[in-house]
Amino acid sequence: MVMFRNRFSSQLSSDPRLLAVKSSHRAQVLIMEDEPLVALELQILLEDMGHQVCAVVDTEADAVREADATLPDLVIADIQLRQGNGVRAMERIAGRREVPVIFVSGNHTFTPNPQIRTARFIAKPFRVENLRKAVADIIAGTG
Amino acid sequence: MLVIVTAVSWQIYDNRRNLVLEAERTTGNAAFFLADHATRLFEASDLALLEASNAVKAADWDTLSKDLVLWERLRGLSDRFPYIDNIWLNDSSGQLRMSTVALPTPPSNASDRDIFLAQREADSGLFVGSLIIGRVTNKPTFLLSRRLSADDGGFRGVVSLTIDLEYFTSFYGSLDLRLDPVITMRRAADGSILTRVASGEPDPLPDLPLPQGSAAGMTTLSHVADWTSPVHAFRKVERLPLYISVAVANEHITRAWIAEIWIYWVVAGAAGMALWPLSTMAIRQAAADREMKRDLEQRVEERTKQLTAANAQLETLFQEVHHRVKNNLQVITSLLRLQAARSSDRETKESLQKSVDRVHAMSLVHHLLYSSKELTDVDFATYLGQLSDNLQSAYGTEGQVAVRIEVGDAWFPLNHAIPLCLIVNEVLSNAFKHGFPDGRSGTIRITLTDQDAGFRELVVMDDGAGLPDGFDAAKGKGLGMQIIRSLAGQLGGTPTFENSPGATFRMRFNPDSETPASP
Repeated sequence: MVMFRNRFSSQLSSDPRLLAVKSSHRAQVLIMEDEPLVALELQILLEDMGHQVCAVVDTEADAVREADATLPDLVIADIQLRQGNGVRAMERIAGRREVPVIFVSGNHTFTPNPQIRTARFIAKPFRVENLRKAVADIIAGTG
Repeated sequence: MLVIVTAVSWQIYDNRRNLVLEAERTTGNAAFFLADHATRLFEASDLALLEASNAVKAADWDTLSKDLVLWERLRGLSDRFPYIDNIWLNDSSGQLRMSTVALPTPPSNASDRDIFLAQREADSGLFVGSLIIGRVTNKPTFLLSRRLSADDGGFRGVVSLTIDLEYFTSFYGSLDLRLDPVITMRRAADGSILTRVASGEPDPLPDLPLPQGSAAGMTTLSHVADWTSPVHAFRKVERLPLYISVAVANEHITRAWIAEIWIYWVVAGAAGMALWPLSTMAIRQAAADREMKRDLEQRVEERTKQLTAANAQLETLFQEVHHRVKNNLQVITSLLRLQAARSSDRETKESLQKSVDRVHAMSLVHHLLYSSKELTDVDFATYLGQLSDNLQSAYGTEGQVAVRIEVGDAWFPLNHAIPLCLIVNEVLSNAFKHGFPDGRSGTIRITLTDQDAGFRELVVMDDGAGLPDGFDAAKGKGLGMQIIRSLAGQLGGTPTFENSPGATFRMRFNPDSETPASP
């Protein structure tokens, strides 16, 4: 099931730790997350940073399909999805198109797959600072 | 069993070896003594011959042949020696002139006999004749003869005596030597047998060769397992052309050997028979033991597999729990942050953010549990390190404030770790937030010491700005203080704040005690 395909209008916060970052590049971001509230927060954060969330998916199959359809610049993926997992989804996506991914997961045991261009792994619950920095680094091309 | 067989086998071999040695000793000794015995007998016989020869020197044959006194004298001689059968006097033609066998002298001629002929040719000394059947007595016998010489040395005749073989036969037979040796008296001239005594049965030994010229000798078995060669000792009778041969047949040795060893076999057999069921049992037991051992090993392996699988399952379960907890904490965090983002009120935002920070402090505990694989206990030192890193990062005080952690190797179960870590999170957050304003640098020191009766003391002290004036931990109404006090109660501890040198937080606690500690 695909959630929030369309852009969600966000509110900019004045909290110093929730800064909206003017990124040099407006990225298309695909979110793989099966917890709706977490997905919502991620979406808000990314949009606050100036990027566009092109799709939010909760299954492996949807992830691969949406990746083909929307051609994202960045993927933020939870490892455990409602059906399948984020790592396998990325393996399949990477087979067609190289996309950087930030894995955000409660999963401790993460073995990097050389096939996938993993930019970052962030443990849940994530600190906003960590995510923000990771995204900025990737978009700027240093990730 | 094997021990018995080996012991018995050795015994059997040794037994035969000893029998052979005994046979050698017996035959050797018997040959020696019997040769000596023969020597004496024949020496005595020779004396009789000499006496007889002297007796006939005086007169001529015709006179002598009628001499009763002579006859009595000769008779006396022959009677004196049980082994001398008869004494014979033959003239130069061989005619028998007088004999102790009878009177008047029966007609007989010895001119064809070796004992006569040998002496007629030349003086042959004491001559041993061959075995003959006496013409007069019809008994097997042999003769010893001496020459009768005239004064001029001419041949006058022969004095001879017949040996009573019965004597030797019964004498040799009476010896009752072990292993029933065959005793043979033989002529040195041709090796022919003069007398041979073998016990009872048919003679087991063929004629044994006598090497010419040797005075004594022995042949024996070539080795213990030689089943044919006899043990044969022989000895030449001194001064006489006679040999005594004593030989033990191999069959006798074997017979005696079997007779002796059968007892071993009986004993071994009995022992074996007693042991056989035991050894069968032992063998079966050993097989059963092996079977049992295999079975046991198999079961242990299975159990180990089960336990490993169960353990793996448990681990997976724990990890799953931690994973879910972290996901839940993430949801909470996201909610709080979303709320904060929605709120326009600064205080609200800050409060919500504090909540997020507390959630992070808790989730850090789980993260440590999850990653350390301990699954149940938290390494306090590692936790403090990571918490202080996170807080430094959050408050931007890296390089400005140093954190020294001196808690040793302290581990706490989850139910104690959560409250403890939350307390430390509160105190440290305060220290970072208020202790070093305007870029003031300093140090925060965290210590944990063991005290009496299971109590420990946690101290967080800094050299920063210190507590605000009029600060009273007991009365502090802020949520932070309330959280600290209630969590301290959960740990059986009493929290205190001091203002020297900076802010010092002290808490004496014992999570296992019922009542909180006195400050």
